[in-house]
Amino acid sequence: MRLIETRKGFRSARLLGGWIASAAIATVVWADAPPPEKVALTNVKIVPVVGESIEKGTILIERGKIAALGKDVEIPYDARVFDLAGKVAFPGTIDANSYRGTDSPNESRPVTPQLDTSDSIDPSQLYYEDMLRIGTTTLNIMPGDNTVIGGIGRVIRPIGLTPAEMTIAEGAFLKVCVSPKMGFDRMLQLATLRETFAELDEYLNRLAERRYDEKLKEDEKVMDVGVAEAKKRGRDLIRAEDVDDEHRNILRVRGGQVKVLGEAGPTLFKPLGAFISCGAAMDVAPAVTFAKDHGFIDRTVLVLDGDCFKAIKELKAAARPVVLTSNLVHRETDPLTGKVTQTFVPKKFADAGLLFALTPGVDASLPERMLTYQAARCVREGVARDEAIRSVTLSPAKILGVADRLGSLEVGKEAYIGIYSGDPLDFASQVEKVFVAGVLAYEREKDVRMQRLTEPPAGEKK
Amino acid sequence: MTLFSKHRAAANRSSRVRPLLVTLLCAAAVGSVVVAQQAGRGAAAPVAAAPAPIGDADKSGPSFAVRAKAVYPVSDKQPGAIDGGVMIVRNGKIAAVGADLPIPADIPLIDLRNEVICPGFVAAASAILPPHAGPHSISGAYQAVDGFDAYGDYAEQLALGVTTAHISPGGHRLASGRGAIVKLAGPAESRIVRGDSDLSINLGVYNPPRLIKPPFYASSDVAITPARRQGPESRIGQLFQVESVLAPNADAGAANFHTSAFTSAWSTGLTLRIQARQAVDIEDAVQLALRYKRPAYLVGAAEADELADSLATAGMSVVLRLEQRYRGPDNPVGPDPTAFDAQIRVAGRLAKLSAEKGFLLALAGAEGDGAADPRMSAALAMRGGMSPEMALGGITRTAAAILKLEKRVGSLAPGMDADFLVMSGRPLDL
Repeated sequence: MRLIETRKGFRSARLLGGWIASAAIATVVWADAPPPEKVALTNVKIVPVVGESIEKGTILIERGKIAALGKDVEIPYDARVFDLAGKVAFPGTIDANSYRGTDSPNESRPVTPQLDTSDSIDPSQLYYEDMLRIGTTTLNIMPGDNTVIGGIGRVIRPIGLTPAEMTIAEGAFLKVCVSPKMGFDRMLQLATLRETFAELDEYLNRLAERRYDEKLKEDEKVMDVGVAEAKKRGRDLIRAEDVDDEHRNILRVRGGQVKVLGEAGPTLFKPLGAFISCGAAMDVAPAVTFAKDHGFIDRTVLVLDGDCFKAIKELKAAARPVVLTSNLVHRETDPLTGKVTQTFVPKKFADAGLLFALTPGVDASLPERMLTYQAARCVREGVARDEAIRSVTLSPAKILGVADRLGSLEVGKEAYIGIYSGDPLDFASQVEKVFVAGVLAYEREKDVRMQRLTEPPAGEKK
Repeated sequence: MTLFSKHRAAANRSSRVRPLLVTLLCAAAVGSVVVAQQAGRGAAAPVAAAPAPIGDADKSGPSFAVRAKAVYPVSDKQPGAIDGGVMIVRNGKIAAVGADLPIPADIPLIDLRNEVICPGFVAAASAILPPHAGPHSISGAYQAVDGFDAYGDYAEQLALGVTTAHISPGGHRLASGRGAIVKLAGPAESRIVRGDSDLSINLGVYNPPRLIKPPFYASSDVAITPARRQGPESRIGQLFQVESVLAPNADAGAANFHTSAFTSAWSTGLTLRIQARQAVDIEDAVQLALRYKRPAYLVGAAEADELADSLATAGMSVVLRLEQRYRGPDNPVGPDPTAFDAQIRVAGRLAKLSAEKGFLLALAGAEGDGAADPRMSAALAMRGGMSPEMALGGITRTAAAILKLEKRVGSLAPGMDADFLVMSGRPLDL
């Protein structure tokens, strides 16, 4: 019989392909032992997001995944048992669009499709600790909004020593921004977007000609045809390694298939989706039209800010998922009368039946950083509770393409669980424990930094 | 106090005649308008399949009848005012206009006993959009429709009576891009009347910024190419610059996305909208239109009276901008208190010549004046000798005709959009 706290060393191969989480977190005080392979959370109220809540249930986590969940679950003798009477288990919330946690959100160059945020993710930033404190266990780190084409993002968990350890899913979306970059106006912004895609066509044409030329040189022949014919013949000779960094991700956004002189060639890459950022209602129509014209509307997610809810008709027609910023209330002052109109933005999207995800306001007031608080505000304004809860868990998971692994508490999904002291949407509840991929990544009672903030100075009574 | 500011002050005080209320009712069939919008938003690259209309397909405008003290239809059939006129609107379009028409029982009647109705003003040249921020001097890729806020509140312009406006990508570059024609009110999806209305060329502007292309993956091995100069640097070079881009054997190496967009826009036969003020530039404009046999119209035209014959020969219409800031060759420095006098004279002369030679003349305000008052332009033109009918037409029907929208806006006639103003007195009484 072997205790789980084995001192033989961590069998990393079993747990999500080899990351060593034990050393990663400064706030968590580990026992000097690797995490147990089996964990049972007992007597806990489960809010699974999918299906009915279970008043007093058990969650069994094996090797980072939820192996069993329900009222009567047989707990193996070698599981580490947590008795969580009075607590609530909720999936870790998911931030669908974050620009924090990196070196710098944007470049000064307007078009940078070759960049990957994984190159600038800084695992030592306090941002990741703070996300654990408020129960957010999955983050989609994308470039910021001050760009035309920003680069690709990555879905990560907030624990790990390197971006590779933190990665849940590799970059599946390119950042495109329709609202103007600083110093640009919309005419220049959209002209730059179109120019980038048009330049890709020119590049592929020249590349086809070059490849044909190279092939002739290999065969020690002389160029025997005109330019247009050389391009046609070179089209199928283009290989993945010939496409340079400047153009690869743009080609991927278009579907990965080479087009030379209007005719289709080989498909070299996996398609890439796009997160198109719209700052105002007037940006929605150009964004949707642009995505349609270049054939990536089916892989597009719209990130909406400001008064984009006014374009709800265009959004319904496009039928694409939507990520909302943290400004849930849009205020407008009538310039003539001075009257202030307030609109609660997520309600418009809930009423329209669109798939929407909320994001935390990391620059805003403290409560707006908590996705559970944002969801609670939605409930207060009339959004159905189920819809509000989904908008911070399952909906962002679907948008990011990781809904088979995250977003709810179901058997077979990975164990990203937040344990709250009460209803997760109750502002008085606190995050007590956080499990990230089955590893106990955060414990409030052992959170040294939090205690330093909340304990009274020496000599004062509490 | 100059003439201009005196009139402006009068207008700003509670003057006798002001547009009380602007009623703007857009076209009934959203589908057709939306198709125009979607097509207009297309890229320089070939656009994909026919766009689907957005919004409700069976959406139609309101129906009502208006009886006013006087109706100014500003149309061929009914020049002048109709006292006690009645206008019947069905589904957002005008069904009938006349004196003492029988009022149908199924629609509400709006009885305006002391007010006057006239068509919504058409701003053939407006400054709603600031000039584009790009560096290229010749481009067909900057589209004014991209910068237009279809959800915006244009109360300032509506208060002056402008309901339809032409927006341009700017008057600061030789070929600044493609203009568009928009309405300033109504549901967002039907505001863009024509997304791709003309190619905007501005003569008399020189010294565009240099083009900087930073190296990709800058490193010590990659040389930083010096910023490329662009023409035109003088008046001599401006036509040459345009022609060098259009020439059939143009240098393919120097072609870039923007010049290719210009040549492809040119090849689709888009109307040329040439902004030129001085006579030498206007001559260049006429040459351009004649040499390439393109439909074209002139904007600005402060010295157009000297070239009225050539304008008529070339079939070019004129949108006269009444601008205080224009400095003639004799007034090189400082604001010119007598600048309007010259323009008033020009307006008068052009009015006579347009009637004689047969070219269209519309009126517009100064470039850069976002809230240019069309009635001010009309008043100045009348002072120069233009007849009131022609002045009112210059801000409504003729402007619409120059923009090729005479079947939709600019006058009150059956079948046209019901865009009209309710005014507290005669339209041109400031």
